[in-house]
Amino acid sequence: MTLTVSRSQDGQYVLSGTERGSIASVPLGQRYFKVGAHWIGFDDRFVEPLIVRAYYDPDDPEARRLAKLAAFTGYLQVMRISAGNTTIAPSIYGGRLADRQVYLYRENRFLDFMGPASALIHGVTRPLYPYNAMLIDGRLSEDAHFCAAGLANGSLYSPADYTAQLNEQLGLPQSAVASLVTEVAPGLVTSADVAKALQGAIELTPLTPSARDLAGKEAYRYALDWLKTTPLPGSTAPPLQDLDESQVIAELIGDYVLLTLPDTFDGATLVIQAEARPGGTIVHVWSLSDYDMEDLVADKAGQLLWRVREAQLDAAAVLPVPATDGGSPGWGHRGLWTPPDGTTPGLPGLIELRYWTIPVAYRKVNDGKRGTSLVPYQLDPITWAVLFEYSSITEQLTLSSIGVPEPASMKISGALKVFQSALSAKSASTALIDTSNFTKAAMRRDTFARGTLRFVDKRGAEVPAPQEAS
Amino acid sequence: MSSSARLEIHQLNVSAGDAALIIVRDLDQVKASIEETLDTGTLPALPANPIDYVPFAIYHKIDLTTTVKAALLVDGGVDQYGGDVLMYMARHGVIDLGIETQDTLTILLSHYHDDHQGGLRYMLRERVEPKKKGDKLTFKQGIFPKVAYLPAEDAKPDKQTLGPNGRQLRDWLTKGQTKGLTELKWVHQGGLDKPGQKGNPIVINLAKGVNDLPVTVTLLAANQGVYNKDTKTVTTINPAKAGTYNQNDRCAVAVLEYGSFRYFLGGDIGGNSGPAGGNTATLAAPSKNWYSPKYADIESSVGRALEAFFPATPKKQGSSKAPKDTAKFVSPGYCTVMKSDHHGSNTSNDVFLFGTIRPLLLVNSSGIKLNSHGHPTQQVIDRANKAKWGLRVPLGTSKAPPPVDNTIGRVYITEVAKKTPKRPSCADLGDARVMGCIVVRPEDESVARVQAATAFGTELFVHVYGNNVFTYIAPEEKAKYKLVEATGDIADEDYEYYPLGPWWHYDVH
Repeated sequence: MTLTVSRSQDGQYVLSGTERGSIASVPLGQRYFKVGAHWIGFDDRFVEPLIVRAYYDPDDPEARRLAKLAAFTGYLQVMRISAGNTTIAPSIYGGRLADRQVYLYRENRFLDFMGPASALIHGVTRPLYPYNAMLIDGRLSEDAHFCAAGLANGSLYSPADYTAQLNEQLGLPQSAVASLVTEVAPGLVTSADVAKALQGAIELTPLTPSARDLAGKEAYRYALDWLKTTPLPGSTAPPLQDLDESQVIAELIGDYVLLTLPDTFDGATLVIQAEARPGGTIVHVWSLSDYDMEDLVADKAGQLLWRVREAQLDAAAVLPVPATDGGSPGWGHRGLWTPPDGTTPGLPGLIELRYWTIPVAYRKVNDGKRGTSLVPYQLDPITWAVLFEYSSITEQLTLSSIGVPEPASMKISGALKVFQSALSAKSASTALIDTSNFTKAAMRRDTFARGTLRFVDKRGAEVPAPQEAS
Repeated sequence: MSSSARLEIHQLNVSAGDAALIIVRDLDQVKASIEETLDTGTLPALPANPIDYVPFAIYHKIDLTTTVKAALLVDGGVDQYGGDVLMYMARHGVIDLGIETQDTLTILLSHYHDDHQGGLRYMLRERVEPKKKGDKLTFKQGIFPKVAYLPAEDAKPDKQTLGPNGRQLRDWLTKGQTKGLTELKWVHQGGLDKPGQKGNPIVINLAKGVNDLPVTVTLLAANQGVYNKDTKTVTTINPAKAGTYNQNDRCAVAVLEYGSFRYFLGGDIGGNSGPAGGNTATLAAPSKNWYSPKYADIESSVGRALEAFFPATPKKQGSSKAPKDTAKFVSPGYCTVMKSDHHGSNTSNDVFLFGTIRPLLLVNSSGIKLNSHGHPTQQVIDRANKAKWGLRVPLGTSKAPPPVDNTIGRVYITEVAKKTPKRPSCADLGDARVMGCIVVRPEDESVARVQAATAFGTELFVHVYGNNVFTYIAPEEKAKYKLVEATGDIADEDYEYYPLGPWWHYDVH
């Protein structure tokens, strides 16, 4: 079936034709690109994580024929952090990416996948991205199940027909494409940091929604609706009745949804967390002031930029040239954690987090005496990047731009090898990667302040949205 | 007539943070240092007025290291101003960068928030930057004050919860004490020198000024407690919302005294912010909701404590006679200069506090980094410009005294954000002057005259100038951020060594 793109009522692009025998549409994002047989969309309704969805269409004229011949095809994803021409290990970067160190291999590349401990628990032997859905969906136990459409982290594509099995066992149609739904969560603030900041914070009396209240609704949405419609004791008006949600900045850190309200609401950031208890779900709502939020990020960007400088020196890299307008950074730029000389504020790409999104076809091969085995073949990878810039006023690194997707070459042998090594290491059972990096990919997101990301090409030139192109 | 100023209060421009540097100067030494340089024939003549010596010496880069009798740094601003504060102190002779312990320097931290504590760390550690392969960023021992006052981590009324930077500052000072580099003293609830509401209010004796008048700094409050001098007890202030915790409620509140001159430093304490604090109609802070930051009303208690600590000088009805050789005050709780609380937040700086302090000058520390927070707020500027200030109802009575006339001669502001991606400062600053670092100096001769006077009605003069230095904004960020440029007259050529000003103010004692 031919894939077709259209725009939904909320301004999101959607794609139809991704499910067998159905014209149902699936989300792409606020911006999308078609690269070869890939459709890739970016959804920045939450500033973090950015949600990226990719669909590989085996029927596309540009698709590799192998996809139709293999037992199944799925996406595998590899990442790499760099500053200028120096690559950076995740442990040096720190924050929410630090625990990815366990999958580090050649040239500071690392696999984007659940941690070895989780993989062992779930019996995962291939690091295809859709398998991450096992972290939240206990029904998924065999490859055929991952051929279902609508899974949390994407689907495998198989030319075989599993329609009946999937309908019976999961109540889902079969996917007509290989797909991936990934979270880009490179923040320097971890959920442990948020938990500390909440000590002594203002908390609303916990909300106790019924199961029906939460049907089809995320806990944060329930809390927001409650605050928009329910006056608090001693008040006649609901506290958020005038809230313009298009001015709210949303962020997800671990299990915490952070909603920074507009200035007219005292710049408060609501922190919302759902807690499952035997009697039902309790929704906690705290409020942090902008001072609390500043304390949460204090020094983190400066510390990261100095770790990066150490790595650059270790790599004998050519260091960035300091600004020429007077040499001295001037008043207000001489702290313990002032970034190194040459850190140009407002420059996208100071730090780059590059992704390789690679369709991998597993083909049955007869090994003679050993019987049949599944052998991986990489198809046609694409690469894209998220770019950070530093502000010398807020002293923060922010994800400001996306390096647009383009065809790439990338061998998967290193990624597969590091996965097997990590699983067989003595420490595998304790090697954890924060599961929320994967389990929240399918979280329903409302349209808050969005569309702030710029899309740039290799030279840093802005790539206008298709509808804006002449 | 000759003027001099041995006491200098530098409200440093640390943007959205706070740092006040108090210096007691030996003007004879300043003169000697200038004359030593004059001998080289490279400078114009020595200024005629001693009050001009220090600005002249700074302008001509004359070494002032031997000229400081005592200095107190109250807070150090946010981290990124740490180096600026350090270099400013070195330039003004407060510290000698080559010496481990600075014998004339004391520091006082008002509370453990990054916009007050961050910059202090820069003094204690020197950054050693990596230069080659294998190098790591390290920190070696920096310089230490002779004495450091930190808020104590007492279990009551609420256990302190320090963030990583607060712990770092405390640990570095503790190590400095172990090595004999500094003496660490703890500020307990009520600003006392002992825990458990025992002990005495901390008084920091700096040095002597004109006619051997002492310059002292007295703590009135700290750690959610305000000391009442009349009852010799500490009133515990509960958090605005039970179970919550806010460092601002724990601020040390200090008053500097030099004869009849006083400088009020309330840190980031909160007030009532509504009509019960005297802020009626548009002067009240917008009503707060459950999500708004919650600050306890410390100001109301501090206002009463000020009145108890600093009563008016007794005056016989119908007589203008005043006791000789004493400071003279016409109202209880008076301070010549008030640094606005919490950077000019509308949840602080109640009209009633203005009514108690009746300042001649209001100094506001605010700016662009990390966030302007909208400070100073319009409500505070409007309260400061209100024609009359209401007074709170005295304890044991039911009727408020009649309002008093506004006493503020001028509002001085370190830095103001005109444009930021978030909240810019208030739109209408009135006739406030925006200065960068603000230097306030009481004129010695007038301080002495008031002290010696046998009748009320003597004028006390205060001299103010600014350094016209503001936060640097990189070209790449100029589209997002804009500062208000310095306002006020740039001095004429006779006073080229004053980057902004100087201006004279006076009030009557």
